[in-house]
Amino acid sequence: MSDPVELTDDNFESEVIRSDKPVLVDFWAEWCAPCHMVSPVVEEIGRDYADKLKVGKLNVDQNSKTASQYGIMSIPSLLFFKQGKVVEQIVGAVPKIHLKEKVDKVLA
Amino acid sequence: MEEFKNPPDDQIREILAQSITIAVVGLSTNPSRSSHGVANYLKSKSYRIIPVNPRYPEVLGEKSYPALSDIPEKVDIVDIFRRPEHIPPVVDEAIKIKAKVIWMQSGIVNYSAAQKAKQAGLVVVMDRCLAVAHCTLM
Repeated sequence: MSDPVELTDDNFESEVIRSDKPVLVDFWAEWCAPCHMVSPVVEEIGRDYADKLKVGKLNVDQNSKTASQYGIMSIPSLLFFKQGKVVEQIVGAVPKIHLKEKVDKVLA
Repeated sequence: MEEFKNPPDDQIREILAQSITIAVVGLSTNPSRSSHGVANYLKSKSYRIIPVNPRYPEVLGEKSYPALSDIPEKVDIVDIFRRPEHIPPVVDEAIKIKAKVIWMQSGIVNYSAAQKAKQAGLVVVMDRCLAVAHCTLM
């Protein structure tokens, strides 16, 4: 069992860039309706892959530096980080099966 | 056709800083729609939001107009939440009312309409969320 880590401009480096495990980061905002659709799916993925994958959520409204640094132009944006680098990206709300396929690819 | 590129972030930052009025084409009254969340966010950042949707008399407490050409005031940005095939008449109206910027939201691309707007002197942004641009650039 592991809930998504709340990511910020301040902890992004330690929680994501220097993470030993691959990290799935959900870039979201309170006002974004599709973000609220994808959020429970991301949480489920976090629970399903708790031993292999870290899952975090970054509110773009409150952490614009990191969102800008990664060129986030639409939300929800889901970025997969491996050893500090972006290896996969999904833009928009997607079904769990689609997200699982990406996770399996990243973890392969 | 000339390759399309969105304006650089510095230019978008300048547009967002100088704009006052945003007409939101296809703005829904339904809070679960992206258009509602984006317009609500922009309104909270003190932009004047003008809904353009013939289905409603009012959205987010603002009078809604059936078409851009019905708006009785100056519009800086036309933010579009319509499918790509519906973009050309919106661009024609945006040119007619002398809007400065055509902004097509995430997932919306129409190259020929974009070219027409650019030729008429408008700045064009496609496939990018206006609210996210504001969050990340301002």
